[in-house]
Amino acid sequence: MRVLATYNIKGGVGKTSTAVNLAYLSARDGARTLIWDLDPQGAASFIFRIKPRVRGGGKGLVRGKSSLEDAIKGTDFDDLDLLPADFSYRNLDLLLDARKKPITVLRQLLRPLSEDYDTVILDCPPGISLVSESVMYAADTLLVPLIPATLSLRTFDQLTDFVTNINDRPPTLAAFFSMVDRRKRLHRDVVATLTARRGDLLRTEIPAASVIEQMAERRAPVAVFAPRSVAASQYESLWAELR
Amino acid sequence: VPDATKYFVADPGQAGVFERAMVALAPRYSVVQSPVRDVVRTWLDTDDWLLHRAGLVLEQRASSDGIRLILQSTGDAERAQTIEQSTWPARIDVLPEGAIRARLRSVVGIRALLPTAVLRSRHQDLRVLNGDQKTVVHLTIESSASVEETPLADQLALSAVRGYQDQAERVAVRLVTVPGLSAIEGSVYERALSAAGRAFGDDAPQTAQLTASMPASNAVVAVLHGFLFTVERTLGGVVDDIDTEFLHDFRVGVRRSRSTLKLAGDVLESAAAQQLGRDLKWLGDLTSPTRDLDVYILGLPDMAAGLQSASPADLEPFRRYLLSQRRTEFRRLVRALRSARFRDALEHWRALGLLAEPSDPGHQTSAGQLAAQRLRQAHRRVTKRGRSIGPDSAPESLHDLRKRCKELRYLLEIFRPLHDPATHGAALKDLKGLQEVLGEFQDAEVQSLAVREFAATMISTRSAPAPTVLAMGELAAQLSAHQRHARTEFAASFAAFDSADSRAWFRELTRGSSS
Repeated sequence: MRVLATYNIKGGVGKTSTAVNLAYLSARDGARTLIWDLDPQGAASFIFRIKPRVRGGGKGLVRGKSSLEDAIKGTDFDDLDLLPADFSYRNLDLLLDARKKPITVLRQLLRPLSEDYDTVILDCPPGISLVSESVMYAADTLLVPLIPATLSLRTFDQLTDFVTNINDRPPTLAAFFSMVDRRKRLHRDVVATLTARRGDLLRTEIPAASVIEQMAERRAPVAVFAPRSVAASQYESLWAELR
Repeated sequence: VPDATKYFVADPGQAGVFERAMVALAPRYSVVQSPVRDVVRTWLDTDDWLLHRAGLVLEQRASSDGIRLILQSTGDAERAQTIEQSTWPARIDVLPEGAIRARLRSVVGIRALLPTAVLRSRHQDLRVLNGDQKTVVHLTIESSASVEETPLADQLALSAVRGYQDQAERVAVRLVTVPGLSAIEGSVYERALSAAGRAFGDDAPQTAQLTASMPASNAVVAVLHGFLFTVERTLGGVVDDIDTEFLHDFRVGVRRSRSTLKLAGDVLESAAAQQLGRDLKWLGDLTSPTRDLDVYILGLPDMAAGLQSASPADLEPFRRYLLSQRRTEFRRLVRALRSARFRDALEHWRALGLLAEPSDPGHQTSAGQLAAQRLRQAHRRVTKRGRSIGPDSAPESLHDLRKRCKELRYLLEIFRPLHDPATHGAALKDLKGLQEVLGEFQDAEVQSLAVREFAATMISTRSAPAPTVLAMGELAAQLSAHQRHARTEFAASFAAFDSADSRAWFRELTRGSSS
């Protein structure tokens, strides 16, 4: 089982869109895939038309009183399941903090699923918290969408330092530009500069496209309702780089 | 069968049932229909139902969309994979690498997959949506007929999307109220098998209906006909060379029949028994060369992996030589199995029952008496010969003991229906342990000698380069080491068989032999 997680300290950078589209592509390739919507806003759950509610809430899951497996819902797509968000996830930090070795908890919770799924994608809420640390500890690959802004490099450098210091098994960082508008000179310049300075960025850029915004309206991954769009083909390229 | 799907069938003569079902769902759910598809559903298993026994169901679905292989297992999510292969029987090596092949390999090993049932179906998939337009239940309307043209009742299959079992229950409750639609138990696979005239586990011979009081001759005929069932059932697989285990099972049927004749054939009419004995010897000799070569070929990868100085690649000429020999022997075997002599042998075997009428029913030995008497004799022979074997005894004494153990084992198996299962199992346990050691001793010797003979032949025909001969020498040494190891284990395994406890189990089984 391979665990990928979308993460950025900032919100609105395309984490959920990335998680949803990559999860869809993973399942389309025949891998049994689970997406865990860890963001209490429940955007990924909403896109898949699944109610953002987990019996027993985050408390039940973190304390091991309710099973992750019982909370999983099938999406409308073959081989793709979703573990819904729950509003109680807003307190996940506190719940984790009450446990011994809090950053290992998510990884432990995922372990029983290793027979059932080939790919797990964690859609992480923004911010730096125990939740994000736990996600980094659980993930094999951390997907980091970067918006083309000068501060993005600084944020990414900080994240690289932070991840390197995770004991035991630091995840591989897979950063890529997101919400790129090639019509804007600033975006083009920032992409060129940052790519030159950091040679370890993924090649694919996800554009700032209206079809991506439409995901919330159409409640489906881009490839389902706009398979010939540039955005769909860019997610395809991104997945090909990660596969 | 691991199938969480619920099935409903249209009652015979009822028209428009599924339309009424959709009307019944309409007030609460919206239903989205997909176009109708023609699908050929082929279920696969090994000849001995290994997948079924492991709680697995493997189905190939072929439609205009392509061919999908679907593996279901109890308590596990379904796995599906697109494949190219659609010709069966075949070994699982023809499948693409992936989770399905890996899972199957651990269960079926060297056995081939064969179609167990085939349905030609017309499918209509429907999705039941909740208020969020989310699919919560999948429905499939299916009209099918087996390839034998037996129609199955039109059915509606209902399966819940994960996490929406409660919704599926509600849909099911609405469906059962539809006139002309009935919920049924059992999977479509079971119905497809039934339409094909098959059933799970139909490879097993009909258990001989033995009773202790029946005439011994009738019991022996029933046992021999049970083995005939195995021989006739595996014959097609042997001739078509589906996998090596058909020949193995065929030979087991022949070998056990020979032993039965040897150990208890004196209660049969003697001319018929003698004729069958000659036929069975011929069949045993006929099938030995191919089976022996199968054993070498199947065992070669493991032996090659154990080479210390030579490389496994050095054995490639040896492997090719074995395969070529096997092709030659197999052709010879198939010719014989298509001969009039073989047909006559089967006729003699089938006709045996007609000659088994007791000449004087009042004085016939009963099956119970025969079983007890022959088991006691066989047990005594094993015990006596085993006790006479010391550390310096010749290998032949162990080989002889192995044959006597086999006889005892066959008798135990033949007369199993007459025994208390617990006593039978206990008596068998230590005998099996002893047989394993003796088998390893014998096999290692036979194979080691064979490797030397193969090497001599290959050298004389200039088909063995020097590295191959050296590697074969190492194989022979490896086998000799196995044999020495088995020899050191003999004393302990015989002591377990000859323990007071074990003897008591056999006494229990042979009680009444003098009556």
